[in-house]
Amino acid sequence: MLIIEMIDLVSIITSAIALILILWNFKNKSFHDNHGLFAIFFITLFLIYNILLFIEWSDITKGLDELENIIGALLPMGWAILLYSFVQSMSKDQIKKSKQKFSAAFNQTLSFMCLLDLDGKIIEANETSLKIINGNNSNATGEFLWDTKCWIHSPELQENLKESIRKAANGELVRFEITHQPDSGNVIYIDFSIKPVLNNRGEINMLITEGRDISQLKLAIEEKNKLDAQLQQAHKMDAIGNLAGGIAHDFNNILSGIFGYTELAQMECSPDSQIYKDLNEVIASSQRAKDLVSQILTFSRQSDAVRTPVIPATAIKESIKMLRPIIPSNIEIHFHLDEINGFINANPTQLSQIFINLATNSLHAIGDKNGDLTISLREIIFQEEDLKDKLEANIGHYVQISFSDTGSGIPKKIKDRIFEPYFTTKEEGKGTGLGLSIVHGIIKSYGGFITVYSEPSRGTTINIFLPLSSEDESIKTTENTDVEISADCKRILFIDDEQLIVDLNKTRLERFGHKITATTSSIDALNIFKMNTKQFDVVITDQTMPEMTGDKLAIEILKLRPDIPIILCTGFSSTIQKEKALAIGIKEFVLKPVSNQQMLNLINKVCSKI
Amino acid sequence: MENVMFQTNEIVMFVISFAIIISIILNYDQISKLPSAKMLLSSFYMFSLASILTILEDFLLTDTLNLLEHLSYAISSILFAVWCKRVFQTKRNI
Repeated sequence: MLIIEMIDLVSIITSAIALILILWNFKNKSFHDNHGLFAIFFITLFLIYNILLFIEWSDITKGLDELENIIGALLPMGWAILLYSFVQSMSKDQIKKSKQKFSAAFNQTLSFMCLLDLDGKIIEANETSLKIINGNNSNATGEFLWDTKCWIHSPELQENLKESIRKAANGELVRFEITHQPDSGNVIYIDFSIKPVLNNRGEINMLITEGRDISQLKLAIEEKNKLDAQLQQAHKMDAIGNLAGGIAHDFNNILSGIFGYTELAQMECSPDSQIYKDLNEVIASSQRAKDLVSQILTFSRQSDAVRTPVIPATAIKESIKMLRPIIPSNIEIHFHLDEINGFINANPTQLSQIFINLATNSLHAIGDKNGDLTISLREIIFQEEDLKDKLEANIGHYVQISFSDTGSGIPKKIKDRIFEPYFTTKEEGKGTGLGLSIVHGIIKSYGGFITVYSEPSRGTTINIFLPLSSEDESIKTTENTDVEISADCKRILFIDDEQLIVDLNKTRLERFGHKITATTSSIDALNIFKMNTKQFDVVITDQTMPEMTGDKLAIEILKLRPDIPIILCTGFSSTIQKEKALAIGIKEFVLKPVSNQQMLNLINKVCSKI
Repeated sequence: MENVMFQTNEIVMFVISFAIIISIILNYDQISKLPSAKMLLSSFYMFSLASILTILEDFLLTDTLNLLEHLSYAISSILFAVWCKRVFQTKRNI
C-alpha cells in the first residue's frame, strides 16, 4: 500500500471517529439549535471527500472525479458554516449566562429595584419590590410606579415621586426617604433613590429605582440617641454631684467656725440669759445647715451611712405607717407586697427617707382629687440584656419597689430633670426640690437604679430596683457611743489648713484642759512630731490640705509611732472614706462640723482604746 | 479545459478558505473564546494548507506536494476528531 493511501486511510478513520462522536453527542442533545446538523453535514462531507481521495489514488474509479470536485468546493463552505454556527452558539450562551447573572443580582438583592421608562412606567420590577408594590409577586409591568400599592396611600408621596421621576429623566440623581405600611407588620422606612440610565450614545433611555429597608437602622439610631441622652443625663448628675461635694467641703468648714465659736460663747454666759437662748438659735440654725449639707452629700452619693440587712416589706410598711396621719381621706393606699427571701443592704433611715419622699410626691400629685397610691414589691432577676442601658448595674436578683399613683403625671419636657437637685414643680415653700435627687443618690450608692413611667393626667409609676442579698453582707461599723468627758489632760497635735478652725479648736480644747500644739501646715506638723514622737497623746488632722493630705500625714506619723491615736476630720473628701481611713490605722473618722461634746467624746474614746 | 493547469474547484476551495482565514483574523477575539479554539482553527488551517497545496502541485513538485496535500488533510481530520473528543468530554453544549 502506498504511503498516500495509508495517509488517506488515517484521514478516513479519524473523520469517521469525529462523525461518530458528533452523532453520539447529537443524540445526547449536546448541540444548540441546528448546530449539530451543520456539524454532521460538514464531517460527513469531509469523510466522503477523504474516501474519494483514497479511491482516486487507488485507481478504483475515475468516474467519481466530478463528485470529488463538488464536495471539495463545498468543504470550505462547510467550514465557514460550522465556525459561524459555533460562534453564534457561543454568543447565545454568553447572553443567556449574562441574563442569568443579571436576573440573580436583580431579583435576589434585598433592595427594592425597578426599571422605569422616562414617563415612570414600570419596565421590570425585581421580586423584592413586587412584594411591596402589589403585596405579592404578580407582574406590575406597564403600571405607573406612583399608582402601585406602595405609593397610593399618600397623595403627597405620589406627587413627590412624579416630581422626582421628572428630575431623574432630566439627568438628576434623586434620593429621599419614604414610609410604607405593609398589610401586616410595622411601618417600614425606605431609603429611596432614582437614577437615570444611559445608553451607548450617552442618552437617558430608562430610570432605575432602588429602595433599601432602613427600619432596623432607624431603630438603632433611635436607641443610640436614647442611650446618648441617658449618658448625658448621667454625666450631668455626676457633675452636679461633684459640685455639691465641693460646696459641702467648704460649707462644713464655715459651719465648724460658727458651731464652735457659738458653743464657746455659750460657755461664757449663764444658761438663763437671753444671749444663751439666742446662741441656741444660732446652733439650731447651724444644725439645719449641717443637715442640708448632709442631704447634698447623700445626693452626691458621698455620704457615709451605716448599712444593715433590711427586710424590704417591713421597711415599706413602717415608713408608710409614719405617713398615715398626713394621708388625706381622698387617697387610698394599696399594698401588693410579695414575700421576698432575702435582704437589701441599706441604711434604714435612708430607706425610710426614700419611701417617704416617693409617697409624699404621690400624695402631692393626686392633690385634692380622689386617687390611689399603690405600693408594690416583687423580686426580679436581671440578665445582661435587661441591663444594657444601665451601665452601673450588675446582673442578678433585685427587688422592685413601685410607687404608682393616679395623680397629675409628669409632663414629658420635665421628666429628665426631676432628679436634679433644687428642681421642683411645687409652690415656693412646699418643697425644696431635693427629695428625688436624694432618692436618686441613695439608690445609686446601693448599686440600684430607678425608672419613671408617667402619663400626664393619668399618673406616675416610680420603680426602684435594689440589689437583693441572700445573706448578711452589711458593712459593719464601729458603734458611736458617747463617752463621758474626761478631765484627763491630753497632749494634742492639731492640724488644719484653715486658720479659723485651728484657732477655734485650740481655744476650746485648751478650755477643757488639754495641751494643744496647733499648725496650719501638715509638713510642719510632721516635723514637730518627728522631734519627739512621745510628746503627744492624740493627733487630730484635717484631710484636705495643700502640702500633704491628712491620710498621708497619718501614714507617716504611724510609721514613726504605730500606737498614736489619730482622728481624721474632714468637711468632705472624695479621696477618702471611713473604711479606707480605718484601714490605714486612723482611729476615728468624723465629718465637720464637730461640736465640743463630740470632739471631747472622740478624744476620750481614742485614748481609752490604747 | 485540458490546457488549464488547475481545476476550478481548487480555486473555489482556495478563495473560500482564504476568505474564512480573513474572517477568522477579523473576529479572532470572538472565535478564540470557542472551547479548544486553537485546535479547531489548526484543523481548519491544515485544511486550507491542503487546498493551497492542491493548486501548487499542478505547477511544481507534483508528487511531493500531493503527498503533503494528503498529509494536511489527514492532520486536519485528526485535529478535528481530537477537538470533538475534547469538547464533548467537557460536556459543554456547542
